[in-house]
Amino acid sequence: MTDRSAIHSTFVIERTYDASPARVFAAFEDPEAKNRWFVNGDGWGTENYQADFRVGGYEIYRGTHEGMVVSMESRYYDIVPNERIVFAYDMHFGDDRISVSLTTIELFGEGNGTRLVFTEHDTFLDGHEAVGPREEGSKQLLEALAAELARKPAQK
Amino acid sequence: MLNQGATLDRVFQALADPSRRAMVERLSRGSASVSELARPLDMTLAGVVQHLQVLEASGLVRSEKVGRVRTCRIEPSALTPVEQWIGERRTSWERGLDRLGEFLNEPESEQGK
Repeated sequence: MTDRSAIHSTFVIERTYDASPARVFAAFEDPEAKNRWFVNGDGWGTENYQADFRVGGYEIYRGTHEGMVVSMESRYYDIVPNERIVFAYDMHFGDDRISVSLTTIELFGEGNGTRLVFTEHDTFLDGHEAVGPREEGSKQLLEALAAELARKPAQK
Repeated sequence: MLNQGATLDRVFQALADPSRRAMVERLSRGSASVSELARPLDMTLAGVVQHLQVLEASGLVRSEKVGRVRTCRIEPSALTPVEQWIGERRTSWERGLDRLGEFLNEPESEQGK
């Protein structure tokens, strides 16, 4: 019997690049460019990569990492050239769907460069991304506790 | 990553009990002696010590005996395996965006179009 759980996480990453928004956007839009910085990095063995950069288009990636087959399927929902890309994707480890995510990439021209803001919401499913079984109630508690401990020391 | 399974299990097991959660919460506000920990809990000192053993086995709490007083403190780094696997996704994208930066810094003739 599978333990069911959904753990939610949101993060924002900002980067400033010494390149125009058009060049940064092109690095996402052009499959050859994307292949160079996105697909072929980090010691992953790529088995399959297909890109279809348009609203309603899908991007498919499958590769191996530390003996594990990882696949990602993204669908593009919103594309504003040189300004914004919104896509949703799920990730599988083998046959298990481990997460579903929603990502927004915004590009802001600043001087001669670009500030990129990357916002992602992840839903991690059924604890696949962690190893080992665990107790349902403790999971939620552990997150709340981690948040509590991460705060500055205490009131009262 | 496989080794983290056992650690995570012990941490979750440790936090599955409400008294132990109360103890961890108290310790997150500062270290305390065993008797201080026992005070708000409706149990014997022996019961508290037993709970403390579970907490120490999980790595969440450390204690030290000086003279007759055992002082306990929180070890927040024990939670990092859990935060880690949630944080790995962010880290993965951070690395990707770093690689984008390196790519953009290459001479344009080498960027293929």
